[in-house]
Amino acid sequence: MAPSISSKRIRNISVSRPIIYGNIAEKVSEKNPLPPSSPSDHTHTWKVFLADPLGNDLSQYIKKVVFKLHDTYVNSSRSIESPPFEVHETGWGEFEIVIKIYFQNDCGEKNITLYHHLKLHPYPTHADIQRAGGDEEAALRIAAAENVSGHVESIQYDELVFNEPTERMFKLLTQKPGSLLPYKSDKTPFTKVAEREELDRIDKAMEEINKLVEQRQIEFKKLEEERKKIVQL
Amino acid sequence: MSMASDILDVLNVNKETRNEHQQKKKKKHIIHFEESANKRKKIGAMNRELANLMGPNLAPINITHHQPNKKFKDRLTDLQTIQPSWTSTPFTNGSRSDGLQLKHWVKGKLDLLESKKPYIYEKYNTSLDIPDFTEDDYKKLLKDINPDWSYKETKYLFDMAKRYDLRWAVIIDSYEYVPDEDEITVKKEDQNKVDDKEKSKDDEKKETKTYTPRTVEDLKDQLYKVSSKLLNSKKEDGVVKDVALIKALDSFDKNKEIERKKYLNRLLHRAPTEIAEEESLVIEARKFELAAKKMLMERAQLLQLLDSPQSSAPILQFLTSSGLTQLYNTLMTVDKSKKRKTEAPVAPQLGPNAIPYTQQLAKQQAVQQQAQAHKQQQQQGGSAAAGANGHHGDKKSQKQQQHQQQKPQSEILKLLQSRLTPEEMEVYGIKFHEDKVQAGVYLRSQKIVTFKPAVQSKVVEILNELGISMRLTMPTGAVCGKFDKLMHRIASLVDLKKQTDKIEAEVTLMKRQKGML
Repeated sequence: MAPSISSKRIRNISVSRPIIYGNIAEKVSEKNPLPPSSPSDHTHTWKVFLADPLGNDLSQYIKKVVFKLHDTYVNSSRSIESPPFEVHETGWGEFEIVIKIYFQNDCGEKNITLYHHLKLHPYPTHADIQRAGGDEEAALRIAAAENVSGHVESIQYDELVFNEPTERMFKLLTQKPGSLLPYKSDKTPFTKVAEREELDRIDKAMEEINKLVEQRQIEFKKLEEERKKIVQL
Repeated sequence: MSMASDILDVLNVNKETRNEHQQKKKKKHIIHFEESANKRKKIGAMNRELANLMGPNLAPINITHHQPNKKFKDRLTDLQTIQPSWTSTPFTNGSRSDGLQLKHWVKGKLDLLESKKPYIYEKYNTSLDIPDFTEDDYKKLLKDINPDWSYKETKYLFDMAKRYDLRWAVIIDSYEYVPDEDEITVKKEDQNKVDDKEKSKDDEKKETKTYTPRTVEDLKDQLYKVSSKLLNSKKEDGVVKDVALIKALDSFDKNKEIERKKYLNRLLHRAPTEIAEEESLVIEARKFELAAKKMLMERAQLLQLLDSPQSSAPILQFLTSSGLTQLYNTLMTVDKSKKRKTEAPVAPQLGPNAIPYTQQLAKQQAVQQQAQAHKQQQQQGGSAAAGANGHHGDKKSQKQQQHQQQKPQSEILKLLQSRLTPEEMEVYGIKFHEDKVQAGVYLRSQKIVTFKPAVQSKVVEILNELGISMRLTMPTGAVCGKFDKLMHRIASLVDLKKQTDKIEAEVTLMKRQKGML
């Protein structure tokens, strides 16, 4: 008969699962000593990870995650095959990490790639820039000074969308509801409230744009009529 | 300058009347007049003066030969030298039998013509090569060819043939052979022995003693047979060239000739109704032929269709919604165009569960209809029995397994439809969409809308002004959707601005053209 059921795709359906990925970095200090194996010029310890915003188990549908680090690292391609999908390392510089997510075999999906810029130094805020008088480097230094704890985070929220998942995949994905974001939480910045805020912002922008569009349309019509009149003359 | 014009002036002929006259002529021979006017330019100075002296109406005869390269004085001297003298010479025509001597003018001086060349027209006096025979020959060989013919008549016939160069129309017209008495009597005796069913000309002979009029076929027949026999008898040297001739002569068949002429006569005298009938018959025959051909072709094609093998290409690509719609569309186009050669790329299932092609088509259409049906259900809103989240998964998977053999896809959909509230759908992150979507996984942030670089930069600018960045903090489904819309709106705004600018420029340009109206 036809090929096995598991590779049959369910039409007209897409399932989405939220994920967060990014890195946390800490400056090397007394509280945070360098591990013995790392060279002495490394100034930060950091970890890059891929996780579920609610802390659920991603290995349901993710087989492995490959983090490709900078070439100067030994074994720059780190393959993590069991949760937690994260890499702990030390270093001194920022670079781009390629994150490749491989799904479970019977899901029949290809891997997808994400990019994340490793962040070790804090961003200068507005106040910092003002104080520095517009100078970027100075602003950075000021920001660094301000950041007493030396803890820097750069985390992204995103969603994996599975279009027309196979039945197996569907089963896996729906065993547990994944999209329950907390309404309000102090632990993560990724809450429903944040989503709400974003929506509101977009709505506002939409309104403004609509107004402008209307204005322009009126202008356009006026000009059209003028043009017609002149042509007829 | 022109003498003619002087004369006319003296005679007080007005230029206008003269021109009128000329114009009348001009209307008839406009082209000629203009041509001659053009040609006048090419005439040399001397000739121009001459023409003017002689007047506008030149004599039509060209007196001298046209020798363009020779000068006039040379031509004058030539005229004096090239003056042939003609002599009146007597001659005899060799074709004549009486030796008549006549005289004719020949170009050139006397003595040169003493060479007695034969009269130039002698060569045209040809005659056909018709064989001769004596009475003895006749009695020996030729008598038995046709008892109706006598030696005398045959001789007469041959003479006629020679005289009139075998032109049968003339021969038959002036064929007036008068047989002798004894011939007729001889013939009469022969006739008595002949059957009474002979033609009436026998009676004619008995009664009137007039000679039976010979038809062309009779004459031809006799002549050809006699000549053929004669030629055959002269074959002692092994005459080659005449063998073909003998063959040709022998192939003459009197009866066939008569038949042929009869047919020809009938053909020429067909009534127009008959002609029309014949043509229609021909057309119908042709139509039948074509119809027969067409039928054969159709039959061949049908057989080909029935015999054509079924492909066993992999069907995985057709299991997705996009693939299936593609398939459906190709089938529809094939149906519409009715091309038999292009087989739709349907992969029928082989094996024990294989179903015929047409049934599979029907099945596919049924599935399509199901999908549409469930869509309607979805739009009407799904009611839901709230179930514990945990149970959901189990029950669903059970149901899935149960309904495997039946169309599982739509079952699952129905199931989901019935069991999930919109909230739950959101929780699970499930979303229905009607249109075909590309199968696969993607990251939501990677699939936000982008435009052409020129437009994109402006859009980004506007976004920045509005206080929104390109990177969304929370790219959930809803957010992304709204963001999409926003982007499109901004793009249309940019487009609108471009158009208004264009029109504005046009308007100012036109205003300037029309003088600041």
